[in-house]
Amino acid sequence: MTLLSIRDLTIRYERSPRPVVDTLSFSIAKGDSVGLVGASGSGKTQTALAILGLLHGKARTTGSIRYAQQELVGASERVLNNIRARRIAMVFQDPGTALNPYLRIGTQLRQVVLQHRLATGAEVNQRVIRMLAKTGLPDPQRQFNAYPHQLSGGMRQRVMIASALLGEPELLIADEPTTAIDATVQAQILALLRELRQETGTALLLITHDLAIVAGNCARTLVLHDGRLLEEGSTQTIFARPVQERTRSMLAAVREGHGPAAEFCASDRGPTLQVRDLTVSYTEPASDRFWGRSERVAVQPLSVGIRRGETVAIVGESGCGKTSLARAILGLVPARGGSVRLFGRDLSPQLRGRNNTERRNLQLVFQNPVASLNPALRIKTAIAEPLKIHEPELTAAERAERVARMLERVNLDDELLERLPHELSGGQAQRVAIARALIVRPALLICDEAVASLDGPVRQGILDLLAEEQRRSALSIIFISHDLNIVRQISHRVLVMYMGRIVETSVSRTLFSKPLHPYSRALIDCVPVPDPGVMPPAPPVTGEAPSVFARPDGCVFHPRCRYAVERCKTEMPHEECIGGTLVACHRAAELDLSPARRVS
Amino acid sequence: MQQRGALRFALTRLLSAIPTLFLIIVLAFMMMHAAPGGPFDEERAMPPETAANIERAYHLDEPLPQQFMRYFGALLQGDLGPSYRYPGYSVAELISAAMLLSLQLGALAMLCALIVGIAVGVLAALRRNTPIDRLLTGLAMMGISIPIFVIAPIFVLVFAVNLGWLPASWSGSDSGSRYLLPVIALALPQIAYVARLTRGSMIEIMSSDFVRTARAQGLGTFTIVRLHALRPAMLPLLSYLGPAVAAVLTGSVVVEQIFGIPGLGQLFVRGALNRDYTLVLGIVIFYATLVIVFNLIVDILYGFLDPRIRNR
Ligand code: SF4
Repeated sequence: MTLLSIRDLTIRYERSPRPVVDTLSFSIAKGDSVGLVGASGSGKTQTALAILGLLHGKARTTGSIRYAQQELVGASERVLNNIRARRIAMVFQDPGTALNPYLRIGTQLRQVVLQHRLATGAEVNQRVIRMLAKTGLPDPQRQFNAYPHQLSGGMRQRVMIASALLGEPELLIADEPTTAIDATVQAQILALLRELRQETGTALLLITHDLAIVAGNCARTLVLHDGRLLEEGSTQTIFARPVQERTRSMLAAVREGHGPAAEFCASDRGPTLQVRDLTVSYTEPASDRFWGRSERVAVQPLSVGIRRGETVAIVGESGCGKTSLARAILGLVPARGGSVRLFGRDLSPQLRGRNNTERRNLQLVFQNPVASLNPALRIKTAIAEPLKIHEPELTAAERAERVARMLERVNLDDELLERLPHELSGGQAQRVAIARALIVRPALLICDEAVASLDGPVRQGILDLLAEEQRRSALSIIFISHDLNIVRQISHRVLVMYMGRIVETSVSRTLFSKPLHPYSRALIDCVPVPDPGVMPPAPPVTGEAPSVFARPDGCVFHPRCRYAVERCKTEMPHEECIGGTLVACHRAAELDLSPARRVS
Repeated sequence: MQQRGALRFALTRLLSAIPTLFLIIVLAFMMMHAAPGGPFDEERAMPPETAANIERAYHLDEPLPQQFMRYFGALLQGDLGPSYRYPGYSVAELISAAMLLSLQLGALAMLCALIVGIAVGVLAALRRNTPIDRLLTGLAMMGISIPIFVIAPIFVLVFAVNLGWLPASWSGSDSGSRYLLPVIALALPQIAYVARLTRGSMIEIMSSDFVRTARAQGLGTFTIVRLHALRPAMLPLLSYLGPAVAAVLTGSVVVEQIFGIPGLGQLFVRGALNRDYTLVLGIVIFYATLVIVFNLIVDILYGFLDPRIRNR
């Protein structure tokens, strides 16, 4: 039976010439699971918002959206309010902003129950708490009274899901429900959605840019491009025999990932950068005393070397210390101990203690390129700016020449030179940020989640660009990411970090074929397999990384490790070398953690 | 742990207010003494020995730092010194006699500004870009740009003189109706500010992600405003409350003058005209303390209203 049927849906904004959604038609049957896939800007979120009548006031919607005989396009708020939550509910992308930070979780969820008269009296709270428990929120009684910011991202998304399911909807729309979340938690959230659907028979419209997620979670797939339906069919068929060229390249982007584009040739020169016993800690107001501050260690003493032309990836869940490590290398936060040496010379732990040459040799690219560019500076000024500081002897003409050449290298049109940062797309802005970093010819580039906010081909383009630059100038790269799929493509060596420690250091290829640390294996298992024939496995780890402020005794990973033994609880494992891989696990030598061969 | 954080925050803010207050006292003291002319300069000259006697009696012959130390020492015990112009009265007595009336007026004006301003602001935000919104924002713009010393006489002219509905001056009546015109004159610019602030933050909050979530949950507009939007939309108002108190204080100086209200503002103007050093200084210090205390309260309230600040 058809639940929702959309005919010729077109959404247009007043001032834009092109509709954001263009004569889109599809339908969803009871209990169906449909993946709506497309790059950002393809109109997938707009479609979802249109179904619930949540579009911005300036949007003009035509066509028809029918839900069980009820036309939703142009329906009154009263009609829509009876559909929302009760028939169709929605889970939004970023649970950090989608929940009201000023209200207790219980208050927000109670209101849904009250609004739709789902229960009365004491039953109201009971119902909310039961639902919170169902979504796997630990200690729901207590979390009922918590504020959103007191929960981690994954927990907040569970709350979001609970709020959507309170009204027992027949259709659940999930808009990029795991994009803002760590891979380990993503696996858990997707598993939760599958479980809950099995139990309730709710239909699912899953909106995502990641085809790999669709593979394991949706029976049918719709591919959207520029607001138009490009391709539609069973997920099996689309993965096996994609008709459209664009679908094929999207599939290639998720299936790729066999070794870095640039081969690493070990040179016998010393390392570009040598980090020895680096420690980073922060202080914050003490919570157990009235005055004073307490110290929290974000990075435990840690050593690593990076050679010329090498890409070293640092992976781990958020809060594992990977960003703190990068910032300490850059001198943005002073290291508490240890040393950072560039070409064999000690660097001052503070940025202001470093000279110009040292500074120019270490450059950084952030996750959010638009935010990292000065909004008032035109692109040409922004790219030329570092040259003024580091090569003041250049004439204006020489500078312009360098900027033009750099622009060509990062594949940007020179018509962009006159624009302001907000007039660029995400991919373009990231290219500008890279150009800015590379124009001073650094020895080491640190990319902190540099492609995390980009999707599909745009992301691929940036990764190719980095590989190309590396080939050209033997640039060393530290690539910080939580996404193993990306890491696999770009890095020569991988450091797996957990709670401020490196638990495994391995050559990239070896890590994926023969991980030695249970945590590495768990991370690998969390990467969704882009193959509808493979059933997604149960989440390999439960829970989320505890905060570095509550470091467990013994092996830091033991509370979440499925191989933990008595000894792990008390004794901290030391790094040992097994077949060229450094690993810190008591059982590394006896366990065989190689992932089963994947059918593809 | 939460309580402790909030308490610690409050204490730190309290301590940091002390140097500010001290600085204001020093500055005000120095400025008063730098002003030309003294309290006992008269058109007709005094015999020099009488002048010297008076100066000695009030310690005006001492070097400035010593005068300041004397003044500050007394201030710490709550003594603002004697008035130079109202012999027999201490400054503290004069202030406390006039204070109540002024505080009443000020509090009523602020209350009126908050209630009307928030209501207008919310309405304008919900009817954004409609004729209602444009009318309300237009009125608010007027309220902000017309100064009190223009609006107050117009009020008197229209409502008291022409229509005869309300008393034109304080002494003209002893019913509650004599509060009406001064309070409205005082409140009007504040209503406008509050309305504009509320409209702006309300629009922002209503287009936030969490309001979209609430709409997706099928909540009606009224529930969304009441439960989700009102409190965060009022947070920016809180930080305006400090400056608003200062604005109402300055406003009251003008309004009391126009309506002939024997409050603190009038006392201040008389003191300044008469070069009554200690009186003016005392009122300045009183005003400064009031403004600082309000800013302090605002900061602390902030901590309690925003859960994210509260347990940081
Ligand atoms: S040391 Fe023990 S707990 Fe830690 S990873 Fe190895 S097996 Fe797991």
